[in-house]
Amino acid sequence: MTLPCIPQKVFCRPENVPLAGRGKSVMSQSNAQEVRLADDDIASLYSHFGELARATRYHECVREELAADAGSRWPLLTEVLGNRTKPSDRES
Amino acid sequence: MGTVGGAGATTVAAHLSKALAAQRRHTLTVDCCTENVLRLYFGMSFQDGFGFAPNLLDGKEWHEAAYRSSDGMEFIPFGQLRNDQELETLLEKLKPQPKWLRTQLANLQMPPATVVICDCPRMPAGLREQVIWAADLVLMVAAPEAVSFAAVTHFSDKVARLHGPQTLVLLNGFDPARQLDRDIAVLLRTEHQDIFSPVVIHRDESVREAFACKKTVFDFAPSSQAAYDFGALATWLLARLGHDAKAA
Repeated sequence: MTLPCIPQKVFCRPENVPLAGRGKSVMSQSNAQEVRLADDDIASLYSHFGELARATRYHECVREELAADAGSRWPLLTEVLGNRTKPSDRES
Repeated sequence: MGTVGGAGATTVAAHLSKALAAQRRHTLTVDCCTENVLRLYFGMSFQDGFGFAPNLLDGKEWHEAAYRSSDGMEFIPFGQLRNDQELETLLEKLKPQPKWLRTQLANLQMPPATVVICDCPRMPAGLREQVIWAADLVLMVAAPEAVSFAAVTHFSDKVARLHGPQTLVLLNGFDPARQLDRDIAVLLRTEHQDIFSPVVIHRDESVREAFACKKTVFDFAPSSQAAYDFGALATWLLARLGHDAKAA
């Protein structure tokens, strides 16, 4: 299943983006709620948006477009990926 | 461990040992590959066939084959076996003890937080399994080649089914000027992001030249791209393993 892209505007509010590794919480000017930093940058980012945006729905649009282009150039690589075991098959 | 032959697993093992030592980590490097090449990075003579495998066949203690190089690096070479029959005998000897290496490493008296680096062979399976049973982390070394990509893809599916040690894929010999290299890196990062190392080792002529001089790039070309990459790899692996790391 292809997961939906996160709207670009989500990434246009740097004041809301916690920077992992700084060792302290980053506070939004407009939002007094403290944001706990996590090891995972994406999880930290998504902690701002509650149920509407879950970290598991994060989708690297540009990277996947590059991957599609990369695969299209090399038939063997496409074939290898085509034969890959799907995650759902692995679990069963 | 290399995904395919010639991927550079021995080179990575040797350089990782040196990079960790440069970061003041006590290391022990063990060669479990029958090719017995790792020792050359530590200055051992090409003609010297001493190692733990011949020791085991002769009924001696395996760790009596340990060396300390001129720059203080401790390592245990595999040793030179005379023929295939000797290898078969060794494998038969180890077969009933799949955790033999793990036990032996645990019994060695080493400083706390010593990092043990094993050069793990793809084959024979008897030696490979010994290393995997002993490992906290397995680093799969992949070349930017289609065959290596296929091996990683096959392997990652296998990892997902098994509950072995933490396993990561390291891209070695990456040349950003080459289209296929760039594409394989993108595909690895996209398709195998959960096991793909964020550090890649760039293709660097100094690696080949250093080995021809029986040196690592840290001694031969300390300002090279490869020296920087291996240093970054060591830093990242230490962070990944934590401070109580015992084996890699």
